[in-house]
Amino acid sequence: MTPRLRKLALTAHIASSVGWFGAVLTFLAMAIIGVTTQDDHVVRAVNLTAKPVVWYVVLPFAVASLLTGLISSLGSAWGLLRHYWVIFKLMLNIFATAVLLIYTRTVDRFAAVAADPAADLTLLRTPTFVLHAAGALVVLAVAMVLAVYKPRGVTGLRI
Amino acid sequence: MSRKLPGMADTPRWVKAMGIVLAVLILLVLIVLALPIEHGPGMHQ
Repeated sequence: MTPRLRKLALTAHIASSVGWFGAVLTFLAMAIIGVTTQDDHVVRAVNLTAKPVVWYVVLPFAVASLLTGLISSLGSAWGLLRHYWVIFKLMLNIFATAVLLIYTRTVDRFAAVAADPAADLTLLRTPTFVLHAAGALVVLAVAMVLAVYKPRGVTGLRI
Repeated sequence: MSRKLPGMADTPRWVKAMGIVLAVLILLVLIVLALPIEHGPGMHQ
C-alpha cells in the first residue's frame, strides 16, 4: 500500500472510530434522559429515536471502524496479527460489533413498544440502554488507549 | 528464578491479563445469551 493510501485508510479508521464513540455517547445521553424523565412522551421519543440512531449511525460507524481497521493494519507495518495490541483492538471491535448486532433486536422491540399508544411503558424505563451504552464506551475507550499507547509485545506472526 | 512455559516467555504481562479479562467478558456474554430469559423480540408480549 502506498503511503498516501495508508494515510487515507488510517484517517478513515480514526474518523469512523471516533464517530462510533461519539454516537454511543449520544445514545448514552438519550438513554439517561429516557430512564430519568417522568414524562411518558419523552420516554416514547427516546425509544423511538434510539432505533434509527442505532441502525443508521452507531452500527454503520461500527462496521466502518472494523473494515477500515482491517485495511489500515494489513496495509501498514503494524500488521493485523504481528502485535498484541492490534489483535486486542480487533477482538474488542468484533466483540462490540457482535453485541451491538444482537442488541438491535432489543432496540427494535423497545421502539415497537414506544410506538404502541396502548403499551405499558414500564419496560422502557429499565436501564438496559444506559448499561449497554456505558459498557460500549468502556470497550471503545480501551481500544482507543491501545491505539494511542501501542503497548509492546510481538506475536512472531507475519500477517 | 521462576521457569516459564515454552512460547510464553516473551508474552508481556499486560497481554496475559487482558486476555483473561476479555475471555471472561466473552464467557459472561455467552452465559447471558444462553440463560432461559427472552431477549429482544417477544419480550413482554
